[in-house]
Amino acid sequence: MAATGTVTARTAGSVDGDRQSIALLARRAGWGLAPGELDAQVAAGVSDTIDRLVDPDSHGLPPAPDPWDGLDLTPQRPGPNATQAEKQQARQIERQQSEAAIGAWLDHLATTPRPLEDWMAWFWHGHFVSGLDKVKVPALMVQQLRTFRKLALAPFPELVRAATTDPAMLVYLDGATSTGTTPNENYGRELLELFTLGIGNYSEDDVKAGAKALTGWTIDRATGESRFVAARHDASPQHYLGVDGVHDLDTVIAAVVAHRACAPFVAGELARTILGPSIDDASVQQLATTFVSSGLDTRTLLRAILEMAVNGGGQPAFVQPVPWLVAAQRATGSTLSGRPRLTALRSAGQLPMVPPNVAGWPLGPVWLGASTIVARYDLAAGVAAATPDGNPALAAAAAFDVATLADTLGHPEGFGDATTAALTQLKGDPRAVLALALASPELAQC
Amino acid sequence: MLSRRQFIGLSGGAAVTGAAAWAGLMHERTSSKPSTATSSSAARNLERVLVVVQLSGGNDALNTVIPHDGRYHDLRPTLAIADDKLVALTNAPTIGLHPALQPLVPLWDAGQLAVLPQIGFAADSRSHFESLAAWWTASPEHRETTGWVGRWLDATGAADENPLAAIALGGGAVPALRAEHAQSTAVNDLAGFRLLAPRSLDGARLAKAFAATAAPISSDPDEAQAQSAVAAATRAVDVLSKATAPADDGSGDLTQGLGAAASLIAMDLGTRVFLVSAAGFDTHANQAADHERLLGDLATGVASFFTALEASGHADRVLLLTTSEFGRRAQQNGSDGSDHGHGGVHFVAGRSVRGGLHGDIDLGALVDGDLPAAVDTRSLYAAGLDWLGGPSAELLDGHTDTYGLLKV
Repeated sequence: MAATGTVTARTAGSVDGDRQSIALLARRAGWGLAPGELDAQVAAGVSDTIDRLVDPDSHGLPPAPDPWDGLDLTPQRPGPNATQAEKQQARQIERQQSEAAIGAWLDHLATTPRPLEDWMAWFWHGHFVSGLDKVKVPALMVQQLRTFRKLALAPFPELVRAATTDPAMLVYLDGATSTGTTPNENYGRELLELFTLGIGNYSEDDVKAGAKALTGWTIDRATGESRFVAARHDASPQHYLGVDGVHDLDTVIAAVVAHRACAPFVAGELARTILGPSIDDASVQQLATTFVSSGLDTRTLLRAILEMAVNGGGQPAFVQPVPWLVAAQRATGSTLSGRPRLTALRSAGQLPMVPPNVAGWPLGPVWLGASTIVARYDLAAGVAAATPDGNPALAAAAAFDVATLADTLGHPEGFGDATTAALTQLKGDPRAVLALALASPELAQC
Repeated sequence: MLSRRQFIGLSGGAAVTGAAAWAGLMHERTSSKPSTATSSSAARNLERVLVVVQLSGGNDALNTVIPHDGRYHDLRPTLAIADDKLVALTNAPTIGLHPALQPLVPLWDAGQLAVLPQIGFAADSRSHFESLAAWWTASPEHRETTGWVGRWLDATGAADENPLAAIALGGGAVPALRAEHAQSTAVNDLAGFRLLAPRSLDGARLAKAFAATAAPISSDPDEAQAQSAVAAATRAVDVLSKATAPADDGSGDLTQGLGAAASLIAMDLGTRVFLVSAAGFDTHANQAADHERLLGDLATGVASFFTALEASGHADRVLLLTTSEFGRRAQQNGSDGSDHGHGGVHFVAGRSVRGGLHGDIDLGALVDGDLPAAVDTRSLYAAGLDWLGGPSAELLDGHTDTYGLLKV
């Protein structure tokens, strides 16, 4: 794709520059802007905004509620003698649970006052990937996401450790059935390739050695919790990533996070996601150095990336369907929900808890594919139709104040000529104007 | 070398250029009556079609086409299919098919199914993403950044007047379509591919205004790319919303995708290549039931695809081949599954295929516990590109169809 330079030249300290910088943060490392949020953050300043995002506790923001509080996610376990009808009913209930759990998170994302924590939970969900297609049990996926929310800004080694023994992960990448006598390589491979080091930084022998050392971690079928069973563990010392004597969870994690490739890999993944996929190697290396000196502290890395973003380091990026939809609902207060929302997100190619594969969701122009464009249109129409009267974006659409409409939707740069002309065709039909603004090519970028 | 995310990020959408590319197609569509799916309409526009079926995750070759060999049972204590359950194939006494592949037997008996064991790249990685990149680009040394189908589109100009020249259904193998110039169309779900608005909005007016956001093209290249994508998508909807999407009857992804492909082939949209994908072949644990379901989906999908083409009169035009990033380890693991391996087994089907078993499966010659890749993937691709009229060797680093898969 064309990587044509920085997003917009910003003038530090100027009101317009600050406004665009803060909107960029909300699009790239947040869930958009509710009415009034942009004005308030511009008034507080860019540096205060970054600080509030990265360290909400110090700013007196109370902890965000649990998105799934009150949902009945009781696992359905038809016994071996269950009838077909009973099994079918169990599947039906789990499907309803999945839809409710995904919907609850989307609703929460559109309203949370601490967006960066959930944004990082979303990032970790796409990094340490598990999915309902294999995990099946919605309660396990929710438990994993709760862990990612809790550890959203925790030091990276804590995240690796939590992901490695997470029950949904033990199912998704088969740790639960891996034993010392016949280890399963699935987790051992992806731990190195996708989660910590990247391809080219380990050998096939490392994959096998890691798989052996991590045996023993399995799931308690009664509680759904992970536990260590020594009888299933191969405790023999392994040569792993150049380290001798690696034999269990602690020594595996220690070897992985001490590897020279770990910080550049993780910093690169996070930087490409926030700053854009065409971010240059020198910037990644600079971030990796910061990350290493902080002892792999996620908060420090994030702060450095956000500061890079507001200092002209943002590269072009195309928005993914979920962040785009959540930002649309945050700005409009739209009550769009239920199966129509999830069906359209699936058509768009991005349904939370159902990643396409263990690599998570891609970045880049893949999100300009025909299905995604069409599904975004369908969602935009649904969002506009379910936007409450009195919403400022809808009011701007009614007044046909196109500049304010774009600003309210988190794009203070405004719309181009083509979109402005197309909006004019719909003048006098506020909800259609709002729908078209949301579906516009401008809002396909972030 | 590109990282995984860079690779996927770069490769997802084929380069979106020139909304004007649609003009030719749209003119044709509006100035002539829509063709109907009858054998008489197939008499015109007889360009050949290639259908690529991607089995994402790495299909377990050794439990797909199974050698009659005692060592198989030693390697697969709980996963082995009993000899008396295997589907026997006439004139292929050394092998049998997984029982779920029974629906393929009529194609075999008609001489229209080629079975290719031990295929892959010599230097295949056991990483999904490294291997996928090699299979997508047909370039294990990472010399190419375009997909093997995308390079053919660029070289022949097949998509110049028609972005529906290549259609991906299901999403998984879109990077194979990545091109320098050629535009292609990716549809995740044909049934849901509609511009829909709630009744409270004027849908027709909104759709018209949406299409209008695509022009005039912005001077900002990223903005322009997004605008072109809108143009391509709205015009693809115009055409594809007339297709009959397969009923959501609980059949598998491949059966659904191939059903959609059969109906689009009969619509005569000038489509030369379809990619149909299904995931789930990464069977690390409790493989037996999943693999049976997946192979059943493949066999049912392929069989009903050709049945539909026979009925619509388009069967002569179509060649189908399968792809998958690797085969799996010969020795099963302790989770009643199999880990990533190397050589895979692939199928090529169609009336012009030289049917039969091409090659063999030698469990005495495992390399690092894997079936090796005795024949390069590009031999398979060369047959596919030859079917389309080529060129093949110059797009595939000199590789040719060493099997001689096509009847001359």
